[in-house]
Amino acid sequence: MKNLFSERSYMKKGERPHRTAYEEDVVRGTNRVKRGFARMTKGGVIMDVTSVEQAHIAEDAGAVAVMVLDKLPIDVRRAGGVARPASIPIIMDILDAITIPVMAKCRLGHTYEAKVLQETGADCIDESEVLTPADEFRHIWKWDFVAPFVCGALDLGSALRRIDEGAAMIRTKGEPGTGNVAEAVHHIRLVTNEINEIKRLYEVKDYQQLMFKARKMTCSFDTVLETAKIGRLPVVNFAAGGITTPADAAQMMMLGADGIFVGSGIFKSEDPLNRASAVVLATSYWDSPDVVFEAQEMVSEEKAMMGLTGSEMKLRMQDRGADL
Amino acid sequence: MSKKKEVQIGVLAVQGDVLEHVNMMNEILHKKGIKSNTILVRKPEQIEQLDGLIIPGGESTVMSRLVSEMRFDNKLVDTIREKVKNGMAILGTCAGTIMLSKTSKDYVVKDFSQVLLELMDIDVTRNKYGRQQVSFELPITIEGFGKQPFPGVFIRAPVITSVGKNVEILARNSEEIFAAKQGKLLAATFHPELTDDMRFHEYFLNLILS
Repeated sequence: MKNLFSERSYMKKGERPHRTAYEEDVVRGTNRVKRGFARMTKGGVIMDVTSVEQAHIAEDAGAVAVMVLDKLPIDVRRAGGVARPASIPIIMDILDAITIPVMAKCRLGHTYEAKVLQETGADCIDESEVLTPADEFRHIWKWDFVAPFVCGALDLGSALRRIDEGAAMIRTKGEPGTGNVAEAVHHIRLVTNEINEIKRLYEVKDYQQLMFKARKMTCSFDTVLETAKIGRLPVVNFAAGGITTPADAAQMMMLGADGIFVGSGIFKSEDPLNRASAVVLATSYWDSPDVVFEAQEMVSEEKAMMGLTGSEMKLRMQDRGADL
Repeated sequence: MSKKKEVQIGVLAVQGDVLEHVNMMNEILHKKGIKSNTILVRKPEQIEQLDGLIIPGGESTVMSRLVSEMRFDNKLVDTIREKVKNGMAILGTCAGTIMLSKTSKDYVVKDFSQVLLELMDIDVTRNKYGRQQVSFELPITIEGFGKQPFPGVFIRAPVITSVGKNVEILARNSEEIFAAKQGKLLAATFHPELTDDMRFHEYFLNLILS
């Protein structure tokens, strides 16, 4: 799909100039390259890992990328206190150990933390509500970075606001560290329904109503128009937050997700390699129930992570941080 | 060149930027007045009906794992190899090029191996330029495409380091090979599907029809 965004000068800041004469025509960090990176992960599973061992298991299981963090979301809930990014040496060791993309989480609005993560050479940065927000008013201005960003979204408005700030990839938030897929389903349905609504407005050429929609969602008209025109988010959209079983993953793909993030679900189960492989299989073959059945057969519910639901869950990660 | 009215093209849809290829190919087919649509293929029986297969960009480790998935008894790999013997054309971009290659190694992680289709006599080094932050755009010249440069989009791109005698090099600079052709097999280390330039896919269609 083509980039229909009208190019503005602030969108070009991420471009890193060439370093040698040999590279004189080379440009880096462009919107196309950043969004293109996200497109290459489509149909895949991105797994939360906290160590090199877990990263190896994820790669062997067929993860399309790993997300490095200090504690898995369920442990963030248990530990309380301030949740910060993973230690730099762990990120560096994982970068040296595996060939697939390595992503790392930074706190909401913590621009400098993101700069530090960019210096590690990580493939992508996740501005994540799983960590404790660092700025209650702003998200990071992501256009300034060469590394692509993935950001969480609850509904179409929040997704488009993040895209306006330069996110190259969106993940619907769900509720991380719960083992409960309900919130993930809720968020992706919201996004899909709202897109269908603006798509219809575009088809009947009601641009004024589209303008009202943009004002209501406090995002740019450009982004709304582009989304309405192509009938989907202009960037790749993964599902996240509470996905535990292969069938959970297939369900999210069926609802229109481009791919899956699995957090605590894999490494908090007692059968991580099996479960990881099964989720990969189910995500890829989501529209073949016979294959998803085989994937589901690979995992045992007795070994699944215990879930948390409403009453036991004190912290709603999805509501954290600024959303202007 | 005798043109067939019907041509069936499929995109290997286990993982990667599948729809970008489908959309671009369909646009070309419709422009040429060919009625058939590009299909998504995930299972061996779907390969049987194809004249041309596109292996998209994505993570080659994931594709390797899924095409050689034990539950399918390696049938997907065997079917693709068998079909190529019978004249099916393949276009591989980025990860697809790695899948087509005879040998692949990783630039950073030394002890690394994966299942490949081993159809083209090319050696590939994965992640040769580095990780995503080094990904780049660069206009390149492709053999037979005239003077108009092609917008090369290289995302965590591999490099074709050497080719066999029966492989024709289509695009290169002094150190790296960007695109190559062997019979009806076409490999590119960049992503024509992420651009508006349809010449590479048109070239592939002509290769299928020839």
